[in-house]
Amino acid sequence: MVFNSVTFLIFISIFLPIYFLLRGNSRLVFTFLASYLFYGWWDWRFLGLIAFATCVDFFLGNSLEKEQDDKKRKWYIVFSMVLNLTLLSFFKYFNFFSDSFYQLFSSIGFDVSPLTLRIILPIGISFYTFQSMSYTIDIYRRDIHAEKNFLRFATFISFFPQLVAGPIVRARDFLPQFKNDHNLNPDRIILGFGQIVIGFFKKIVVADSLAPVVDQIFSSPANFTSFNLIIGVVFYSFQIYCDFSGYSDIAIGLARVLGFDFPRNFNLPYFSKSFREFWSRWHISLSSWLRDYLYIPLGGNRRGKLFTYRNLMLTMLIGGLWHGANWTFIFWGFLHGFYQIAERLTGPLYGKIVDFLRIPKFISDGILILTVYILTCVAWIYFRATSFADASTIINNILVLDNFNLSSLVNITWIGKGAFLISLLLIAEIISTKIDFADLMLKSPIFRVTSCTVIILSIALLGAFADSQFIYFQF
Amino acid sequence: MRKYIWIPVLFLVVFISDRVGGLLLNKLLLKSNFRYSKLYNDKAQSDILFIGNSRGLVFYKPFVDSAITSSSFNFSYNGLPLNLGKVLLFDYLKKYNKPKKIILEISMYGADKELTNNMKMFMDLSPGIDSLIKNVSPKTSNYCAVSHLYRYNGEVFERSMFYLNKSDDTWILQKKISQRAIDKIQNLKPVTLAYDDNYLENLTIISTYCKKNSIELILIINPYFPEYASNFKNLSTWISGIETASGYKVHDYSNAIKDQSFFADYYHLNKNGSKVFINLLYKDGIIN
Repeated sequence: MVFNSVTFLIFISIFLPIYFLLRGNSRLVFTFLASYLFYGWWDWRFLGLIAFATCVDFFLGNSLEKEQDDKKRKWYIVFSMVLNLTLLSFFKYFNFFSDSFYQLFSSIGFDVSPLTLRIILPIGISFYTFQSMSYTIDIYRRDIHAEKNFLRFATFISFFPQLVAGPIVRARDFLPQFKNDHNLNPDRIILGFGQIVIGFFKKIVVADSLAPVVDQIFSSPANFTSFNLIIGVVFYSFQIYCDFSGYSDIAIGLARVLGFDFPRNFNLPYFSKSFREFWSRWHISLSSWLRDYLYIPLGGNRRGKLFTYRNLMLTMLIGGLWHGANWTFIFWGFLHGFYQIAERLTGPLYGKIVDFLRIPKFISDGILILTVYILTCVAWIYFRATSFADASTIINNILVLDNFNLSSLVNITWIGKGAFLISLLLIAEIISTKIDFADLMLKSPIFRVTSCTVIILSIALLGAFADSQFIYFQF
Repeated sequence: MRKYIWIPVLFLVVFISDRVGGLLLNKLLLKSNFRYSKLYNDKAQSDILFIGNSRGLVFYKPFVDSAITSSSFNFSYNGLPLNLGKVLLFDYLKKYNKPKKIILEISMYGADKELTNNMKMFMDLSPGIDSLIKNVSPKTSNYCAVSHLYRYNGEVFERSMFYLNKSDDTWILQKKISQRAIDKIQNLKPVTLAYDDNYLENLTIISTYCKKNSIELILIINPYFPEYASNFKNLSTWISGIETASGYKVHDYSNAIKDQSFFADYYHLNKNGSKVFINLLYKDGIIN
């Protein structure tokens, strides 16, 4: 079931009143069953996989809590990691590694037969696996206590608003919220509804309107001029942002209506002045997960510059691999690792140049924002392209700068609409840094009704209703 | 409960705004100089009608007007399929005096569901479009019943707003085909031209109507990029199939223009190419 479908509209219209009528355990059972129905609507066969991971991590979590012997605790956590990562690797990476080994051995003259299984990727596996892993790791570190109520734990893993595409919520933040019954709260409804409507606007209006141009250009990049390719890449950067942050907004808004608080997942990432800042604003729940469970355990920045660079690169490479089983994703991670290392090396020099030339702050900040954005777009090319050859074609053809005029554009109506929507989004985001819209929504009913009406009517008038999936479902 | 009163108010405001917005956009739509706005606003009476997909846009009105004294109206649109073209044509024939001639560019093969859905803003004005949308996409039809603003969601409406205060007669590709595209032509695989039963059925309905009402119908293939046209596998059988079904001769101009600079890409003449082509049609007596 996807949020942008009539099925979901029916589902949520039935779910909400029943949810608020129930209390205690019956509400928990109902939420759990509804979450499994939500997931099973896509493919019921994979419900067993979530149920299995849930049972194992629930059992291991409790064993970790009870066990005092450090050696045994280590075995438990290793078992949990191996099991979760094996499931993830099998479903997500089996064909990738099988193909890669086959190509490697073939290229050096060994005659091996390819081993290919038709494995379907269970939607959301990367999200719920990471969520589940953080739970057992936190218990191992004795940061949290194990959950004793199985139903509560199972609902934490399968909670439908964030099950398939995050945000990845930590047990320490989320599980305690299940302990209280959340009453219907007018303020939560206002803020949650507002965020859901904004999420739908980002997804249906912006992301899905940009999608046809992006799909057309990335499907055969060799056929397009430099100008079109640049537009295709810029549009993709906003398509993926609005698609994913739109989903996060809907998930966070839904959870808020139901009485839960999720952390923010995106915070104006394209206004970042450095890559370090970018990663504290983009997919925050994943980047903070990687920071806490990978980068810091690897040593973080505590063991000198060279180790810091190694740790950064490893974290970004694994971040790339998390997105998908393709070398282009790994290269995307490599580029972000490289950018962060280069930034640490050149940052002080840039500061000195700015001081020496007395460049005003808004100009130096503008240069940094633009540089980070352009380099992010270069990395997006590898993320979106289906092969390295396609990505190289795009970069080479952009650098040629041929036919750089308006008449060379593929579809000026689509492109004009896309440019208008991106401008609208950026203006709204800039204004949101100055005005607290949430506060206005709460305090002024006129603002609330007017703004929601404008957004809903804009969705009707400008939205693309093509039943499209969210991009991050594939990860 | 007072704290929740904004929810029914919001629904009411959204509903009223949607209906009022729909009415206003309808007025705006009919004011436009866009071809289909003119068609449904009684401003399209002409002697010659051109119908085609994007390849039909090369019947560039300023050049046609300078070549002949008769008035003309062009129904062509990017990706216009024949089933939708037929509905538009019959809407014209119901509203206006019969034309002297209809020139139909026959490469309108395919079923562009998206374009058909895009015509939803005319569903109140055209029972033909209404039933076509119900057929092609019942979901779109249902959405249109829920929201009237949704009817104006799409490229066709955006174009009609673009032409609100200016003529769309000058809509044509200006660019020249890129050297990269010319170089790539060597690697293209042979092209198979196609049609299906639905296409032939629609063509037969149009040709039967024209015969019955003494309207001259001309079936034509507009020029393709010369090296592309020579890549067709089945041009003659394709043409003979269409001639048999319609009972009309097909005027084949697919390879009529050899100068590469007259093309915007493999399928479309550019503005300069259009001028040469219109002159050729005039010389051959196709338009007069």
